[in-house]
Amino acid sequence: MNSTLNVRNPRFAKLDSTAAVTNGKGRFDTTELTPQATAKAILYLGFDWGTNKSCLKASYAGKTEFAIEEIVPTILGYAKEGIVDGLLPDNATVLYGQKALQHRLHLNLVQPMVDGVVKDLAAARDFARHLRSLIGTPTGTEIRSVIGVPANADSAARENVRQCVAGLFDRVLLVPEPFLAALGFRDESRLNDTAYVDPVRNSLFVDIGGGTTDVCLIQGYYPTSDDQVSLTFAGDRVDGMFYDAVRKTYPDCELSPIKVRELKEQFSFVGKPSGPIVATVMVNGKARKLDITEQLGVACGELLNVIFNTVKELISRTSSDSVGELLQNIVLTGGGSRIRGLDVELQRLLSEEGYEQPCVRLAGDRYKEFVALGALKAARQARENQWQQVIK
Amino acid sequence: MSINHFDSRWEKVVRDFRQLCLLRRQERIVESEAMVRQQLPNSISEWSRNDSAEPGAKRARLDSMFQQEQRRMDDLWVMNELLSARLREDFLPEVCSSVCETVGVELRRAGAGRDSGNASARWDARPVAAPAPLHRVAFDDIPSVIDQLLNSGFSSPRRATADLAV
Repeated sequence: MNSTLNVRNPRFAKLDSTAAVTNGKGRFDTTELTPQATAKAILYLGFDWGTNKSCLKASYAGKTEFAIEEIVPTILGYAKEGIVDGLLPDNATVLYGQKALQHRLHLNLVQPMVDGVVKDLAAARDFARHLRSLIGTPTGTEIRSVIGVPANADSAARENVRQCVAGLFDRVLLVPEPFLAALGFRDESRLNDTAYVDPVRNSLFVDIGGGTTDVCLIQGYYPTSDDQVSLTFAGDRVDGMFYDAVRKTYPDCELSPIKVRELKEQFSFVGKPSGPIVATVMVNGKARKLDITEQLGVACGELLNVIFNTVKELISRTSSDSVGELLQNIVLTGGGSRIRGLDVELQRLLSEEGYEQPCVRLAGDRYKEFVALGALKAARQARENQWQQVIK
Repeated sequence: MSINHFDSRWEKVVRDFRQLCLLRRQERIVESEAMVRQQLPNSISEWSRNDSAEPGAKRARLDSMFQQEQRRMDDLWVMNELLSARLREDFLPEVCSSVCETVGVELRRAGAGRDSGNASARWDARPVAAPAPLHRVAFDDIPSVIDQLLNSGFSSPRRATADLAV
């Protein structure tokens, strides 16, 4: 009989006390364990699995410094059949993130997430495996991950996420993204600073991602379902509207989804543009300069309208006593918050609607990190018995 | 060796592993360590010595059992959490409320001829257990937030009931 079942096998004598129930297969598998396997190191991982960008933040238990901080475009590409050797780095059959985008000519690109949830299970699992490979932990390290998911993700969507990370992370907890965004945005080190306005005291968070726009009311409590609205009108819908409008005006122009996103990220705006937006795009194989001001303005303006109406809806749900302070703390975050003028225009619309002195501000340059940062904070505070196992 | 003996040895392995899962869930570390270091390895060894199957087949059977038992334990644990929460938040307050009401009515009826007014006032003033209002959790009480997510099924695997938003 194989040594796996030998009672004198040191594996039984030096087992990680946390691993037995969480991952029986790992405990009793047939591979040899290295000495570090008994070390019980725990890595807490905050994981924002966004539609367009994924962010990882991790630190070891008992340590304050980050062990990993990564932002990776949520995309992968499978090598096209028949391409010559040496064309892709290391003759890879799959490339991920930025490398996939760089070599997209020779790849079949796949976006595993749509509207904030897993669309292609196999690709999502490959992508998750790649992210796991970025986390260079010693053998035996237990990875406990809090993963952000849209607040309105149904049980099937949540189960898909679990399936994708089964075997990659030892324990997981799924937590709604709006809560994590606010938790990540909060700077606990400044809570004693009288000049610091605690954003979770009475705020409205608008997190505009690629797949979902989450508007969430936070008034000192964990938000209930009545306190938040999750919409699938977000960055990707803006891309779609923009693309349709450009193709309608310039039927011959060639725009890939990647190019559309690049143009949006470079030029997006709401309100009055500072000048005409002229982009260089390919038309019948030739580079041409096209005016895309109106097309981009209309698409971004639609997103603004959706946000405006949702913000009004949530404001109407708050008590009259708290509205005044709430209006002073409307925070825009997520990739969509980079749309030029979004804060100013939303504030103007609210003001014109009759709300008293609203103040809309941007979360800042670290907007990509807040969900993952909040997830890491949550991971560090979760109780031992709250962690959920993921079984393949 | 008879088939029955094989079965009983295998059953013991299964029972021990199930017990180990339970001990872990209950965070009974000392007992679970004893189980994992002594009892379970002994059971496995005993079964393995007396089972003539190929080593690969034995490993596969063990692996399969480990996963199956863990899955069962996960499901049972989730069910336990759900039922406990339901019992605590819905059923018990309702029963308390109903009992208090019935006792109050009976006492009022019994004391109607003597001092019904005072008795009634006394019972009306008593706190009556009612279904708990929706519990709001402080934003920075992360463990309680996670408890709420687990109870609602948001963070728990394979919940069959309707999805509850956060």
